[in-house]
Amino acid sequence: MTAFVVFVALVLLTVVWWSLPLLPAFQEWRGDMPGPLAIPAKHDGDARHFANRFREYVAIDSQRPALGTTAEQFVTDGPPLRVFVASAPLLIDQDWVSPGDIYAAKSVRGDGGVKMRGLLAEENIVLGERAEVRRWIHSGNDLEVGASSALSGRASAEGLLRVGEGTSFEWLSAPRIEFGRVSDVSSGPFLAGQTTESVVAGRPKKVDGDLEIAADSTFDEDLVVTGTLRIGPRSVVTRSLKSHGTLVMGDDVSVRGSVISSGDVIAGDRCTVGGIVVAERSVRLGSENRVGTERVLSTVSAPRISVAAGSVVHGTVWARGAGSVCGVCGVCGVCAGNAGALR
Amino acid sequence: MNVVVLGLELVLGAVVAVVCVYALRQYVFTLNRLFGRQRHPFIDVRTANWPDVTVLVPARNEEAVIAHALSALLDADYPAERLTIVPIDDASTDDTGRIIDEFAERHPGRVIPVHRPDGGTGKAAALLDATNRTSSEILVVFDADYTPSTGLLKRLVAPFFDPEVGAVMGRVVPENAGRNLLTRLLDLERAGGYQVDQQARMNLSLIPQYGGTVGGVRRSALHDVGGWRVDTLTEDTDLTIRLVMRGWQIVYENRAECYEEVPETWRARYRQIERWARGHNEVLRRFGLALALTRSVPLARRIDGLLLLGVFLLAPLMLLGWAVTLMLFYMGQVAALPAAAVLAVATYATMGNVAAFFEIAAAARLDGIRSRVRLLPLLGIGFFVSLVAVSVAALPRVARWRVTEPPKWNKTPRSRGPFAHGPAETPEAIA
Repeated sequence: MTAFVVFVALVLLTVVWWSLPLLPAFQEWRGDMPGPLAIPAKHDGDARHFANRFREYVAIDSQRPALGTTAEQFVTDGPPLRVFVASAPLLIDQDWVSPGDIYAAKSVRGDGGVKMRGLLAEENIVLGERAEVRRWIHSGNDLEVGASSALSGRASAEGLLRVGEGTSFEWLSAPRIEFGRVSDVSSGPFLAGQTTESVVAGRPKKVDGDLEIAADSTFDEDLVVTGTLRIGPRSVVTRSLKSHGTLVMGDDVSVRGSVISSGDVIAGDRCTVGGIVVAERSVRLGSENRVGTERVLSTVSAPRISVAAGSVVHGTVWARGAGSVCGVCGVCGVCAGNAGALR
Repeated sequence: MNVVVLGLELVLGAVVAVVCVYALRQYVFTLNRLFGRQRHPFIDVRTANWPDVTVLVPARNEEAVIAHALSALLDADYPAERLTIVPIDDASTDDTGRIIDEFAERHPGRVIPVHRPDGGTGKAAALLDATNRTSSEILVVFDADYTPSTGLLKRLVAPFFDPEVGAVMGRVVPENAGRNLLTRLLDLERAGGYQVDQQARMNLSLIPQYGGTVGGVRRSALHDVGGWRVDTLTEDTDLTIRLVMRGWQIVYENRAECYEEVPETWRARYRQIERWARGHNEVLRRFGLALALTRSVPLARRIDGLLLLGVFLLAPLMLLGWAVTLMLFYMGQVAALPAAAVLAVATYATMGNVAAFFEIAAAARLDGIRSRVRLLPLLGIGFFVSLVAVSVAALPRVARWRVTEPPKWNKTPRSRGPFAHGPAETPEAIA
């Protein structure tokens, strides 16, 4: 009998000892049943998301303190507020630092050096040089940011978005985004009326190694190159291009489809692209490039993007790492780098 | 006697080597996911000239869930004139056909139903039939129990701007994760499979697997590889390998997330994993050698493909290894094993066994659901069930190596009640 009791006790002890490491598992199992991993059902990746939410937020509480017609008046007269509303056109003095997000029912004009966290204006926004936006900025019409500014997070406009030379950016979105001073940007041989299918049926032509397409050529197939792909100046490509390495477009090249690279995309001057431009390392666009059209928006996306002044993108430019606008001066290296790559 | 022992030792060594390769693979994937460069080349494509897309929704007796899927698709952030939704009523005996027709009536031109009264011969046959009746270059497939979010379609379509991409796969997330222990374990397993395995394959330019749902296929690529195969249990794996062998790329889009229902009973889970195992083994038999010899496919991708196809042979191999170990032990031969073999076995025993747990724990961390990691020890239950199911599925295949039964639509039972899923549009709501 004693032996049996000892045996049972030993078994029980063993079970308990063995179960000890499982206690957290049992505790988790018997605890509250969790819901599924959250997927934002309505999240559609719109650059205007913060602005739209902020507009709803402001509309809910109409009792928020109103900002006067100048920021200086507000800063001297009232305590710092997290959110404030301007019902009249808003003028912001030089080097003013906003303590919170701003909603402007009319337009906003800021002098040089203003710093803000978030700004939504239903009409035009014009910020001077050295402006700094930390999270987001959206204009219901046009948005213009002066030279040497810093746009962290999202910058979007319903109309024109003009970004000054020397400005850094992350995510730009507007029907027309101008980089620096834009004079006349070519629409290329086919962008003006482009409404055809963007993804065309067929197997792409695949080339192992490097490939160089001669200047003034016309290429009518989807093309995939496992090495470096160079497109000679003034060439016309009616389908899409992909390179596993660097993809270099000479001056005045037109591509109707998309331009994809597992490395870098380097475009010379006056190039036009109808589809998206995506690179896994960097995109460098020379001056007077045009991506997309007013009717058919596009996307330029890469960890690092630099665009020379004079270019226009219709749609979205998203630099996850760093984006910058360069003057055509050779100082920042983009133009010089492009020139080297294009040789 | 010595010959027998030598044979057994060789078998054991081979088994341990194979298992160690798989363990190493899981460590590489997990460490890459945690510390490597993450590839999401198309995640930021928001505005584009979106192509025409046909969404295929195969459905057989799905009256409980089909309305949710169609409502969610109608609500998608995609140009309406570019999107056609094709629900496929595959010989349903419940109200699926009527619900589909109601949607078609209310959304003429956008919802175009396909009725297959003589169907029921498998999902691939339904997809083949519907594909032949449509023309858009991009085909996206959702199972009827899936509820796509608003932005999902654009995320799945964006990679097709790359002319080399033949298929795109999104991430599946269990919606009924909290229902019982099994669903919670499957939630962890799915997280490991998608958050770590698939994304690591994408990062390393290997072979992300097209999973047959929450994914898209380029029609040209489909045509190029011979279309949907109707004589296979896993048309998704079959298509994956054929695409890879023809040089098409498959993109995994981790942020293209979609809810699904996972099995809530062990019986359903057993049947599901058994079907997957049989299908995988079947594809391995068909394409294993050809893939290995396709020199146009990079070596790393070929190795990954073979490991992917062979994953369901691992369970019977492990059983074999255990049996051989016991035999050697009772023959008094374990001590005679060379030191290197002992070291290999010991390494496998300590590191190999925890590779899968490591992967799943990493996935839970990446998903920000760390508390669920505490369930890891209980995963042993799920692995045991899988071990049995996979072994049962694999052993006859090893013996016969040919398909003898026509594919059946082996449906996983649905637990969701009709229209019980939030504010999705229902036929009544539309009316």
